[in-house]
Amino acid sequence: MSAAPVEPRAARDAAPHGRDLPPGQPWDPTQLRALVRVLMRARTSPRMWAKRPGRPRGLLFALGIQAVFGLLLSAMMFSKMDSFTFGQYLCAMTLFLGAGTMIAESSQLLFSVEENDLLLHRPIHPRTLLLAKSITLFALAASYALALNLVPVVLGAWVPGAAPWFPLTHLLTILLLSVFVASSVVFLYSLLTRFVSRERFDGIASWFQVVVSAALIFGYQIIPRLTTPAHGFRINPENPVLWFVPSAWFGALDALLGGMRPTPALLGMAGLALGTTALLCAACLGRIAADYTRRLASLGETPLRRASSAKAPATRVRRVRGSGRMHPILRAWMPDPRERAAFGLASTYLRRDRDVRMRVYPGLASFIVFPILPLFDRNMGPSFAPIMTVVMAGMLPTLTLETLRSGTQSAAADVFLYAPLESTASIFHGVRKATIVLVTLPMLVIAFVIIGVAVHEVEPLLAMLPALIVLPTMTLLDGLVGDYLPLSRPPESGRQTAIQVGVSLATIVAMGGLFAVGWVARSMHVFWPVLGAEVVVVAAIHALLLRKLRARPLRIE
Amino acid sequence: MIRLDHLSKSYGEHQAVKDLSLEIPSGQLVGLLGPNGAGKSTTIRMLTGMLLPTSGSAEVEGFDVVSQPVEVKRVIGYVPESGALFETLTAHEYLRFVAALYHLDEGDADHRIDQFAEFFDLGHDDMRSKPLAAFSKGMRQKIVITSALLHNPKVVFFDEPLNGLDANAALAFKTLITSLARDGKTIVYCSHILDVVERVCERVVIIHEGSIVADGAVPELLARTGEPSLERAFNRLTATENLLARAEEFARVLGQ
Repeated sequence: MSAAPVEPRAARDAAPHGRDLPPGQPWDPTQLRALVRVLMRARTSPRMWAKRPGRPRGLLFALGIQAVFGLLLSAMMFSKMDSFTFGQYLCAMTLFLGAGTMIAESSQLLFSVEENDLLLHRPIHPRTLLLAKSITLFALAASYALALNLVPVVLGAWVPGAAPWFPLTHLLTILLLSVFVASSVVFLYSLLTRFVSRERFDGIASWFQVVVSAALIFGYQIIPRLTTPAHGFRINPENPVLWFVPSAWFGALDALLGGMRPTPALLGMAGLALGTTALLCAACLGRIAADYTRRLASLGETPLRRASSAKAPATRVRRVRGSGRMHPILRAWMPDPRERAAFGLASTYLRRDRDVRMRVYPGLASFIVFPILPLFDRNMGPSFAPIMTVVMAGMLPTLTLETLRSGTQSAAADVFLYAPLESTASIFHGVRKATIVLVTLPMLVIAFVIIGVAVHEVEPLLAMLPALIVLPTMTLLDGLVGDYLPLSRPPESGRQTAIQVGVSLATIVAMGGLFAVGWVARSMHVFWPVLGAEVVVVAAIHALLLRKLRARPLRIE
Repeated sequence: MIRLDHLSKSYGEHQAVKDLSLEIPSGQLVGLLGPNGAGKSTTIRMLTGMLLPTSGSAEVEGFDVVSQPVEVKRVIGYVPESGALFETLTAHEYLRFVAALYHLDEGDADHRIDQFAEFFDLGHDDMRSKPLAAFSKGMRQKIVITSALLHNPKVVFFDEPLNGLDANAALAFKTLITSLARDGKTIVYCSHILDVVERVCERVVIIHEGSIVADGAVPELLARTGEPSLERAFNRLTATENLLARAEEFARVLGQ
């Protein structure tokens, strides 16, 4: 991280500071209402800017999936847990899913450079603008949290030790947890803008997202294994590790409000929940809010590329030349120039575009976290990391392809409509191959290396083969869902989450099933014949799908 | 050559383009004018194969826009009004990308890109090192125009091509399109800057509420309407009554 850039006086003076607030008011309520309304609509209605109103289907689907998860989660109450354990698990799940979603969605909301032209010249006080964006984030986080807790909140009243009013207090707790999530995201991103120069913001912010996502996945998987379950499925609130787990703070608050007998540990953790949330809110509405629009304006300034510095032109020019000359192997794999063009477009966006990187990179954290879990938990079977790796590998191409379907300059994708393309096949294959070469393969190699170190058995690695063989064929399915045109859809809130959840469920079933086939075939000593038969079948399906893709004409309205 | 035969487009109840019939011979530079929402962009999107007509037909260089859209797209160039580009790419990367969509050889594409860069005064380093997001609006528009002409199309559709161009670039561009028309290219020029249309286009077609209300050379339109300029003639053919008086009255009310 570099030190905060010193901005020239002219830039500081020129930065918008908004008009004076009404006397005695920390923000402008009229502007706040108008901003929240329009920001919410922009997040949930993707066609808003395209003058075509659309239902927020992605968001609704994501909320529905969260509710289903909540239903599954509430089955825990039948395992004789106490209200602290129940609250802790619910808060952990809410935090994990909520924070993950917020991290993915928030960069576009908080630092949308396109919005600069719309908002920064208006007389809006920075605090009002940041508060409006924070409320929008909170509303999104709360929607996810409420959907997830919909069923558990009702069933929670029957958890042993919970008071009859537990549903109400749990509702309050998860709303507070949503405030914590939204304010944490605003706080962390604002810190980034404060300490990272605008030239490096994009790069650092996307890696920051990866680290936070990895921490969330790691915490969610590791922490429960480190705590000592007391009396079966109950978590001991006295375990000192819990003091480092935010979901445990809110679990303690939930338990106390829900009627559990207070202990110093519970009181301390509940105090942490309240205190941290209050501090984060105060920080966001105080110093951070005061110079928010200036930071936003700074990010929106024409990026000073390294080409202008004395040191870096060679680096920059070399990078561009590199993207122009394709490796002979890749060239042979993509003889169609339109395929190569789409490959180049996708690879450039994967490397340089902030929005694409922030949506793709955090998911990569799983490839590192899951394989290293067996190093921390020796009770974990040798199959866990390989299974998780094939599931992740199955999801990754689709998620990346879907991410690359949306872009902030979606109007530019009209070029595919007036260019002489018989079908979208060549464009789709170019993007598909970019996701395989630049994202999936490197992550698989990393995962294999870690699994090789963590799991000292060949069996689980071999059992991965049936699932991995299907992978290239699975990537063809995305091209059959509508006309695949990269960067042609405006980003939509909830869409990424909806796709992620849908793809996760389908992939868990498909890849998990294939892994099981491999495992059974190994145990029955028919692994290689089964694998050979699979290769033949998959090759036939692959050829069929390729033909189907080629035959699909580009649809015009 | 472009031919429209009773071309119509409806969006539900709303008829955006009504029964347009028109013929534009090769080498003609035609101005397509109309107030906002008149149906110009819809017409152009149908002629570029981006939108299907509801009824009627259209041909571009003898290819039908519905049954032979790919052939149509091979012979046309299009400068959209949005001027949108993939801003994460550099100008050179973007133009190479567009060239590939038209199957241009990489060497030929580079040669053409260099020719346009020189014509538009685009610096070699900027073209290769700066992302398009860092370009000014005028520079971006030059890239959009270059991308439309890169494959040497026979027919070119320009929708507000002067957006963001400075006076020198605009002058050079106007000379360029006049020369292109002289060399036999058919050019359809959509703009709200009527004095440019008046000076550059040999024929003007005015669309209002989806229908053609005037078609002819500028002197013919002026004679027909009895107005001294294309702006006034356009106003007479498309605007509501007493527009100027209403504007003055509105300004007076605003000032109170």
